[in-house]
Amino acid sequence: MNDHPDLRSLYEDLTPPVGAAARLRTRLREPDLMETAVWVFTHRVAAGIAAAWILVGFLHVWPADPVQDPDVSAWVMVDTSLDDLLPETVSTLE
Amino acid sequence: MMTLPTDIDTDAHPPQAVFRHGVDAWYPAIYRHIAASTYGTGLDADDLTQDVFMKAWRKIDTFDGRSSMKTWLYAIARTTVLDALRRRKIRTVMSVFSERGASFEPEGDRGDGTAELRHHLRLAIASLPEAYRTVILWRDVDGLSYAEIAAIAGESEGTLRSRHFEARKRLRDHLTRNGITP
Repeated sequence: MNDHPDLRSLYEDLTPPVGAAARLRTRLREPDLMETAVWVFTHRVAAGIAAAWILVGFLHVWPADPVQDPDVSAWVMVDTSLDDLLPETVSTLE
Repeated sequence: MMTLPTDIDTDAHPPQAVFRHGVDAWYPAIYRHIAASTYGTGLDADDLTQDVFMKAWRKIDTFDGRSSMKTWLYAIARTTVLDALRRRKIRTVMSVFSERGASFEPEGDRGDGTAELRHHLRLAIASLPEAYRTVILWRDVDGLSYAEIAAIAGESEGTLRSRHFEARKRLRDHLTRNGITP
């Protein structure tokens, strides 16, 4: 068995089906499923998770607990004191 | 044997042109190699060839022209075939035959025994262990040089020469045992 013209001709009838190149071109234009999944995850799912995280964080601090939040407690105190003063103010005006 | 164009200069052409050149020049040869490698296994050579070129397109940016386009595509074809055989748990073509419990009938026999002889020769090659089968196909069917085979397999030319010698011996023994004279 030297360099084999016989073995070369053995597979000569094995040729690609008609339209194989066109099929390849079509496949190349289609987005790859895995790549698409990765893109959707990185661009949409990850963005969704980030948005949800921000939303949860926002809901966690609002509405704030007036007892726990010193700023709001101060505001309530001011408000309360105004209420307390209001009758006197009214009576003074009268 | 079809004369194929020489390799493309990757520095002078954009990746799309390099890839298009690869498809035009090597698609039939890669298809034939895959069809020969998977003969009798039931794997679809057309699908696998498409996969090879899809992979090549995705990796075209990494093709720097240090290896030839031909050996690069053959290397992708080798891993694609091995992966497909592994996925289908096909170790040898003979295991497929024994699972089916029947012998394959050659197609397109013209009554002169040519198709039958061709069928048995293809089966004999396909039933060789992968390392021997691929070296026979690369050298004797695809007409690659030992240097090109070494570039694909990542082994020395000396190793591949002795493996090729052993592969031919095994093939000859197999054919003699089965009373086939090529």
